[in-house]
Amino acid sequence: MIQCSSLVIYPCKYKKMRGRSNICYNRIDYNFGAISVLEQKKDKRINRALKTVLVTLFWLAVWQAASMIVNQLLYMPSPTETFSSLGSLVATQDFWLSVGYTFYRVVLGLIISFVLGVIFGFLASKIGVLESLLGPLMATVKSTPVMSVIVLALVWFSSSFVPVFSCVLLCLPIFYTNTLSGIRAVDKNLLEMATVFKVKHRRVIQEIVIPSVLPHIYSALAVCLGFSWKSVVAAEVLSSPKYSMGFNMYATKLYLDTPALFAWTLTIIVISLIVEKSLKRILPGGGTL
Amino acid sequence: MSIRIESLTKKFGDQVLFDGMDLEIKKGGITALIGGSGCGKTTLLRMICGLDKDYSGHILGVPDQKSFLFQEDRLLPWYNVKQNIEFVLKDVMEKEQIETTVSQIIKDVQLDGHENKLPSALSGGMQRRVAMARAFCYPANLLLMDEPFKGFDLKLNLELIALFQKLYAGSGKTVILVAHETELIDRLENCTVIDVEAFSRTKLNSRALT
Repeated sequence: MIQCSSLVIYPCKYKKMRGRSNICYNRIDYNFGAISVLEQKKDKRINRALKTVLVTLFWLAVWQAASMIVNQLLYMPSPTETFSSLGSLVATQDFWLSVGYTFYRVVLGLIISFVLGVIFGFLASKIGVLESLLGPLMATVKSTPVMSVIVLALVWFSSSFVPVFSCVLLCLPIFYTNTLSGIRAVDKNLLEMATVFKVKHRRVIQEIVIPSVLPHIYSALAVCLGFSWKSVVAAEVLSSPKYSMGFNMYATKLYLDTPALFAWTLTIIVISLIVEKSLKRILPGGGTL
Repeated sequence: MSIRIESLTKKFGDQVLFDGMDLEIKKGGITALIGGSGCGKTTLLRMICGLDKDYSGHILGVPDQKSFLFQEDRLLPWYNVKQNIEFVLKDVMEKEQIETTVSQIIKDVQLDGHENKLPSALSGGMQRRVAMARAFCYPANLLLMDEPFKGFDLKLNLELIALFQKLYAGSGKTVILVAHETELIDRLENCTVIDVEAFSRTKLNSRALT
């Protein structure tokens, strides 16, 4: 009898209640319970999606209304004009090459600033002299206008590297200061506890210092994600590398093609949103981004 | 052998806290350091532990391996109960031994079922029990406790004292604890009480209870 009931319960448990035998009533209840929780989650997701769609529709309507009031394609193209311009852009190979190259520059700029900023931050927290030396430098770089950096970089580097350089100059101080302040904020009590229990230095770094600093680095990353796109595209407008979104934007100015300008801008916004959302999913504890 | 403190002098700037203090703490028992606020109980405990080395004189007979129950629980907020205890054991025990030790101590402090919870999901009393579990299962003969029964109501304190005595019984550890409430110390069996105020220069009316 026991064998028999277990035979019935297993299919119920693993095949999500195909058999409707009296013996597995409890399983049926359990499964119903689980489904209703799942459905609740699904409901919430649908609600959120609906809200996003409605908000988007609202702003599209505002945009449409504004363009109708202005009624000048040159000043304010409507959403339909922008999307049709985007449609014809997307069909070209140049569009994807430009997006690819700009994306590459943003990623490269972010990686260089992240690596250097975090390394310098860690070193400065250990070596007082380095901190005294780097402190004023970072403060100066921070308050230097992006444009003067770009103009200077145009003299120094090839047009393709200028956007990366300006992105690094903008983001590196943010990674540096956040890493440094993160290390400063590590709970001294926890470090003392680890000392008493003779926890190895490597593990203290891995298990106390890094988890404490990580949220600070994430918040730097959140700020830099936005900055990197802005600085790279701005530098591209001025330095005009062959394939770049910035150069294409510059071209829209030359040809007074405002719908294309809007289309490029929209592309940047969408890509940077996608990057941010994906990073949130990929990074451990990236929800704080 | 016991822990001996010889002609210990401790100053904070110009202020002298201990001036040539001599003290002996027997091994294998419970010693409570009591005294009013600011008389140097915690400082003395930290000096014995080696956390405060800014003194003259000698503290002898302190074993290399020692455990400390801090006044604050000092749990890693990103680690759950089990990981917090494992954290201090990983460098001093084999993997299998850690498994058994941790599951045993979690049972002893009645936290089974809560192993995977983060400290933030636990009550103050439970967090204290995790800290106590961590301090007790660490393989050390000397256990130092800084106000282990502080900040809780009487009922919880009595529970913690009972738990402490259960863990202490048969462990063979030397325990030195700092305490504020002497009435709680009275409940500890075989406890030697040392009034630190008697050695402290910061208080005028010192008295010895030893």
